[in-house]
Amino acid sequence: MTSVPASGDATAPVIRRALHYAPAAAAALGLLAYGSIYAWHLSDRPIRSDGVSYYEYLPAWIADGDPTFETLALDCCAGYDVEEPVGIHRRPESGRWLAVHPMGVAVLMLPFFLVAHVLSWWSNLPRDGFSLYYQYIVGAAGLAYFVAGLVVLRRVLRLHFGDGVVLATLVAITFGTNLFHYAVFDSTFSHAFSFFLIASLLLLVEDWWTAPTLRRSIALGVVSGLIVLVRHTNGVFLAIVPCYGVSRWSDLAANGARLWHRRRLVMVTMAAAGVCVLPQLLVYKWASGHWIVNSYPEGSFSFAAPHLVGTMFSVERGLFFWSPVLLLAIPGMFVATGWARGLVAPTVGVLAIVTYLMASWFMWDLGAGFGHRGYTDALSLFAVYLASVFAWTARRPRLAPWVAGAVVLLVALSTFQMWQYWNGLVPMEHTTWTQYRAAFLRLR
Amino acid sequence: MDPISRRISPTALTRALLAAIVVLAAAIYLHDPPWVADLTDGFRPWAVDASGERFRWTTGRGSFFVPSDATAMTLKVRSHKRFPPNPIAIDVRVDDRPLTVITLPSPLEPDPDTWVVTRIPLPRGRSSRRFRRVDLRVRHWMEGYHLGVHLGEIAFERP
Repeated sequence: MTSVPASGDATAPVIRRALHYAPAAAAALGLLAYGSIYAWHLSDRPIRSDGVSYYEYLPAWIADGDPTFETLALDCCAGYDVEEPVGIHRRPESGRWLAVHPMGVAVLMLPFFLVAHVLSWWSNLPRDGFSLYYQYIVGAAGLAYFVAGLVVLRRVLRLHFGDGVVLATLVAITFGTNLFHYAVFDSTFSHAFSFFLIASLLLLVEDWWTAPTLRRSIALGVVSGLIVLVRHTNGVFLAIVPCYGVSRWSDLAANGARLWHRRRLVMVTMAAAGVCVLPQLLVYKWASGHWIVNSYPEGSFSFAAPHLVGTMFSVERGLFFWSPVLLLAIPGMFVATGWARGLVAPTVGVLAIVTYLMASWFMWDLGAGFGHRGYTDALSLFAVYLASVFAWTARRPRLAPWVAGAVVLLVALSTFQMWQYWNGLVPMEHTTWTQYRAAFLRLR
Repeated sequence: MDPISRRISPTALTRALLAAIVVLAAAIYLHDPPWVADLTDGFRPWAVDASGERFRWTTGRGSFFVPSDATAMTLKVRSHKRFPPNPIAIDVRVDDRPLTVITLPSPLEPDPDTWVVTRIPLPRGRSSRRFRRVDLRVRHWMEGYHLGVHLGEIAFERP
């Protein structure tokens, strides 16, 4: 598949420099926001809520040296205002503890945990996995993976779009959606980690189809395995690998033939992914006697009654309501050319399945959060079509100022609403239209 | 010019040296930070009981710091809850070394709302730090719920 950077995007040196420093600027802004959130007590500590159950493999395995979670449970509850162990449940079949969330985020947090662990030893602070250094160093992991995701996404987009378009896309995707929020405010949730992994998948899948090597096959397998390990339902995104460049049914058959031709490398990729996922399967088997379990005790899917409209458009948590700039990705799919055009069908397919899964989950709004966090993982896919529509617009000088103006307003609105959420002006969940109207553009 | 000098530019060397100095300075500072005096971990916020006394609920484990020249500390603890399971063991450690175990309720003070006051001599430590870490481990469970205990104001004795 050939790809041509968008014409009409003659890059000024200032834009090239801005794009060069964009991830660093995002990191600096992220650190400033991260520090401000805790300095001003907008939230009590970084490792909280879902973040605890994503993370607590590390305190159990390394700080306690007890992967069964028994010590962690006995030492309940790390200063949290609860009376039961957080994020782990005893399986009725075995009486053994199982974390609600899988271990992928903990694996990605490991370097940060080790730094905090060594520093805690050095400063003689408690090495329990939840004291000061753990909170703030591990809490910054989400920010680090968000920045890494931006770097990867920039690389992917620069292969196919001009610098101005890429810069506009990175800004829109960072501040026009809930991505920045999940990088700094709820930074121990899985979403910034998944954003990085799915951006990496986009890069690797292109490299792998263009020039497959053993190294790329292993890398693709590791990233695929980690995507599943972080959030099992995100396994849906792996459909992009066989469906890469598919626009017609005949393309699917052609891809099948190419995959068969490179079947050894496919096996290597699958083996690498399997090695990554295996520890989680062993944990499930040990705790429940089954290789695959629903570790969420509170509920499950109801496929017959999906909340599709609520998931996408509602004031309560709708994707496009809270991140309206993403609506531009829809026309972006129609005007996409080249490489991006070849990704339309897999993107639509993957997003349709992701939407149906989330809408069918008993807690379709995924509980407390800013915007619909289930889609944060997929933002690098949306970015491709935002870039497509920006490139298309850039070639139409009469239209460009209007689109640019609308994008600036929508991004500003999302950023402002994020600030409102941080300051408690927008409810954490179950927002009603009345509440939204009452809070609209309010500073206090 | 030797091969290493040719490979490393003066700018890179200066940056590496500056980074090393920053890391070293941070390491020296963080080895004995003064702010740990006020640092606690694993306790709920301060509260005041009916008689006006301040206390904090513990969770399963909690830590605080005492001056390293303290010769003894006095802990005030009580279970507050009138129902079993009893006894409740509170394991006290200093700088990761076992110090004592306080058992609640005290046979002399069976009322769960009476403070059990324990004076604990602190062995002389070899540390050059200004503060020593005291860890409490509390086992107080009832039907799957962790209850913790009340911990009152801590007093130190210094020479």
